[in-house]
Amino acid sequence: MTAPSQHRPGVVVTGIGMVTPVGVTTGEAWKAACAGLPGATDDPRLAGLGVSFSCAVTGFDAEQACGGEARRMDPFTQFAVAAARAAVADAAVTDGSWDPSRVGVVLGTAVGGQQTWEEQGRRMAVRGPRAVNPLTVPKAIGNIAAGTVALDLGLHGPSLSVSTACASGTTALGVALDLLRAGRCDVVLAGGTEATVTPLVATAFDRLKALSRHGDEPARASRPFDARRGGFVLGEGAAVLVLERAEDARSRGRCGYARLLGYGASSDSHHLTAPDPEGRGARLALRQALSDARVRASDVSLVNAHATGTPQGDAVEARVIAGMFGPKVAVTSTKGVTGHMLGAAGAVEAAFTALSVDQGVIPPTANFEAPDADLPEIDIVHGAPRHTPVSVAVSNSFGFGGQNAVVVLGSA
Amino acid sequence: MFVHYLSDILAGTYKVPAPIDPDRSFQQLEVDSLSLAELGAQLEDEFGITIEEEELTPATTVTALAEFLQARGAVLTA
Repeated sequence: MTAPSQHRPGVVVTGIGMVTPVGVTTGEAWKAACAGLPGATDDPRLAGLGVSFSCAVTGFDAEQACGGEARRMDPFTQFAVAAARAAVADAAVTDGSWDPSRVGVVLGTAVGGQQTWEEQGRRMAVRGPRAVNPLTVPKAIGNIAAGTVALDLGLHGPSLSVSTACASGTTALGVALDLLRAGRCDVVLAGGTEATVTPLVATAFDRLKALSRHGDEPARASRPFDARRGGFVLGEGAAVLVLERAEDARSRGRCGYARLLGYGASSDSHHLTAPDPEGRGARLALRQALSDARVRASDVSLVNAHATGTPQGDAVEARVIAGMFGPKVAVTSTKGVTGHMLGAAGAVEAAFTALSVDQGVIPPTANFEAPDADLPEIDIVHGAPRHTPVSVAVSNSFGFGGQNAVVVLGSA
Repeated sequence: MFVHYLSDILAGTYKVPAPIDPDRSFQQLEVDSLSLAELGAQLEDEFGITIEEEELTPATTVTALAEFLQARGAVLTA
């Protein structure tokens, strides 16, 4: 972490691209988030399984979004390429306004090209080795989304893949911030992507008892912080943010949606899947992020929580938020709408947080109906979007393996 | 018959610019090695035949591949 006395360039978010279960453009996704409209529906891909609904991306035309090369891409790469193209268009950085050798890509993914692995595994099991597509490896390996984004946009800076499970998208933003502060890149496309709504992954999470089982009412299944929450809803999609130094953005007449003020990361070092019951790792990441951002907890007016709707995870996070920020800070979890997009979640939530800062609107926590009596009082935005200025906000992400990441965003 | 079929695939899936001269090799048509491997797998799938690596190379022409498919007894369904 940079010493407080050292000059650091400010970093701003100048472009956002999203592919989500509630819209394949940023505008659609943000509108759905603010309306608190849950994206969970019955999913034919999961028919007959223990949990047969998801927050699936619909209305996504891969060839239209990614061009003819789409057939060479697993959906996790297609989502990333579509989001990256949209983010770059939104930022209005074009050929000639950047040096491709100074533009980096950092993308988080928890799993990688799972649909390709599963499909080819089935083909091999049924029809033998000759049925395996020769493109299986280059479609499915975890780094290929970042590599393909660089290839698609003609970028020659570093392209990196980070994997910290459900914190991957947030970790990617932190790594990107470091690349910009260190002067290794002028622009970084950072975000996360995931396409793991598959029979195997859904079953595996269900076997772990991690998924919500509101099969009769999928739209009400993702219920962060609610007293009747019972697990998360599997989601998919991608978000990519264009990050650049504030002075560079200003020089081309852009102020950006928000500043990326700071980043913190930690490891629980406690358990394979369960959070530290005291939330020590989460607190550590939050403290580091606030310190890196040079803000105090009292400056924070919004927490976009990790809250996935699991009983234990949401409880620990609520205690951490109450302990660090008190009962007054506004808290939302947009996973009530998007479901849990795993490695893309942190990027999508950082994008929503940047939009909250930019527009002074906090999306409600969908399906939050009754507070959990066992949790401390926190101000969970629910029912309707809240219109209020947000000058400093944090976005939390916590992953299996006890990997935690937090970003701090503020007014541009 | 197979020339027409292959030209359609090359233009549609592999984005080879039309008109496709069937006497040109895949290398001359700028079909890269990854696409060639993919095409081979696609044809094996479609016709239930086996195509060995040396039977479909960058030097193979579309006409030669069409003749190969014919010789292997591949059957085009409408």
